[in-house]
Amino acid sequence: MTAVDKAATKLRGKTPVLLVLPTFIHFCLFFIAPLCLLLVYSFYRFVPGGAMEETFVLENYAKFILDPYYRGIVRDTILLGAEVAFFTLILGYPLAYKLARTRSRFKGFLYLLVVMPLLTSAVVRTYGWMVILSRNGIVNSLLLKWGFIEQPLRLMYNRLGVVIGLTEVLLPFMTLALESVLRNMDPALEEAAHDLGANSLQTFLRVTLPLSLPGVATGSVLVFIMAISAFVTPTLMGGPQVRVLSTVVYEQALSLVNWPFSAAVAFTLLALVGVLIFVYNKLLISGKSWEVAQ
Amino acid sequence: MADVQLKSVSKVYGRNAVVNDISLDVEHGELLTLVGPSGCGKTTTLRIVAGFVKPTHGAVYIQGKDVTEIPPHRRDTGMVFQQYALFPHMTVQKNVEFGLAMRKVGARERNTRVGEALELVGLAHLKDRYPRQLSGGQQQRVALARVLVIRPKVLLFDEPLSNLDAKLRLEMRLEIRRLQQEVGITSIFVTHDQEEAITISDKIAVMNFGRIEQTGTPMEIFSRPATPFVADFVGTSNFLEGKLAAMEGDCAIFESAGGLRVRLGPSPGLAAGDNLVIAVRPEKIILAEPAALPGTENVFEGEVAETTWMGPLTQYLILLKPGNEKLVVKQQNLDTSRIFRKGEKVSVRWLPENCLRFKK
Repeated sequence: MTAVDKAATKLRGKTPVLLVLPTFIHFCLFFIAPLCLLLVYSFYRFVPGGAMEETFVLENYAKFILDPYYRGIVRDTILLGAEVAFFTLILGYPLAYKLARTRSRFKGFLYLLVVMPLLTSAVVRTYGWMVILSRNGIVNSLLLKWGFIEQPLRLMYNRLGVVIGLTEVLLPFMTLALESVLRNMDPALEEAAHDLGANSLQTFLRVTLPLSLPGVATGSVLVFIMAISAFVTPTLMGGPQVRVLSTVVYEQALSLVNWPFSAAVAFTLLALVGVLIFVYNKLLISGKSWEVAQ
Repeated sequence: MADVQLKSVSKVYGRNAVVNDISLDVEHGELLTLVGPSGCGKTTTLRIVAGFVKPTHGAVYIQGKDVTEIPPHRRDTGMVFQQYALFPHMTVQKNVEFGLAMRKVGARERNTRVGEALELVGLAHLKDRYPRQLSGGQQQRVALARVLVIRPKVLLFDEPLSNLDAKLRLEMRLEIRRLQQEVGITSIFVTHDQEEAITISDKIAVMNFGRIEQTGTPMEIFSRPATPFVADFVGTSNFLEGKLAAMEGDCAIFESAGGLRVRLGPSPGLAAGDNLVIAVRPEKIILAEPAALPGTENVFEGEVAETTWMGPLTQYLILLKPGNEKLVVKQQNLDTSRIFRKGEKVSVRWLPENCLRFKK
């Protein structure tokens, strides 16, 4: 074996490492490094006027945690995430079930329809919602015309608008998470339950739902995380009065140039997500004991 | 009155009749097997009885009651699935208990009955295990216990043994038969394995292309197959096509397309000139050295084209003179039997009464 061959063999063993190297460098340079910088900033002291004093203080975190105003925003944000997760679950489950069980020739097309919201830009989507939900939108005109209401409803530029918008965008994640679990479930299990005397509801509650819980958990966590960290939809659909953690970060960093406080809020958000993922992993492992038991 | 009755049941998908006008009676306590090649409609027929498939035409009766419009969960059938379909998130105990819980049986009685059912299949010690912790055979037994415990009106088996290895399959086959006779529940069993069908059934219905070719006891099906398909599917057969050449009293002389003159047993209802297919089972043929067989009745000369040694048996492919018609012959490997090699000349013989006759 020549030296070149030897070098080649050696290199071949490292191929996987070499292949991920560009991504790794990119990830470190443009994600990890700024994040570290931000973490450092969050301990600096804000000097009114936009400057930062390079020291180590906890006042940014203290302000955020102690101020009832910001605590309210944290609560609102978490509530928003939970609401969106709930609605996507309710809407996504039947959709996922149908998608998993269908034998239609148009299955591929149905998948495309499900992920369609992700293929549209947030701005286009929001203008679409304006046509439907604004004061003079389709929903209000119809309701007024049929006499269900006398005043137009506020369906947009408030919290409701944000929930509607986020539910739409995040529905595909929930649907696909549930679908993958339901597709892998043997339909004979449901038949066995029926055969043993369970009606449709009992079969769902005792067999289908418990077996799809991993998908419910994955979908909910995914949607929750994306909902609490969403920025574009809350801004466009909620207008200035809806405040969530991400809009606070934006406002503090860009309008008030308070980088330390903005960084502290951002890290609190990140910590929230981290804790959630940790709990999710723990639950998933203990909850599926029957699967890993062997 | 029959416990399960199918009356002219059909299932049509598009233009394709998967089940085509089937009528069937299963008597109380009887085990009937639907057997046939894959795609013959046997599983669909079973699923029609269970209620998972709604027939396009016809009606299903269970213990005299028309259940055609009744959903599966109110039919009181107990089905054992091909992949067992045990609930993976429940222990053995919970799996077996499921049907009783759905029937709102009290906790005390539930416990006793689950215990009895598990005892019956010999798995009482494993009641706290999850299905994934069990072997295939054990899962099969749990599936059995799960349906036996509800004392259904009918037991349905959908190729329950096809996922087990050969040895375990034989064991479970006997076990299922034993349990079925012990509890005396009317059963319908679906399999593509004719040997399985013959060994466990009271009655067999052989299916092909959505129709029942023949219904009868295993012995009837095997010794008096109604059609060439049955003769070939249940056991195997050699087929010779030809004409009835002459009648000699009660017995007929058949002449094959290749020119063999075969004497048939008593054949009432046949006349010279009839087009016939005759079938001879490989194990009914005697093989010997050339010109070593006594008599002249149904003795033919041929040459060995292929020899396959199969352990207890040897299978030969013989080319018969004069027409080079092929004949499969199976010989027991006794101490006295000699193995013929490829290319050797042999003579074969079978008894007239072992010729099965089918009019064309």
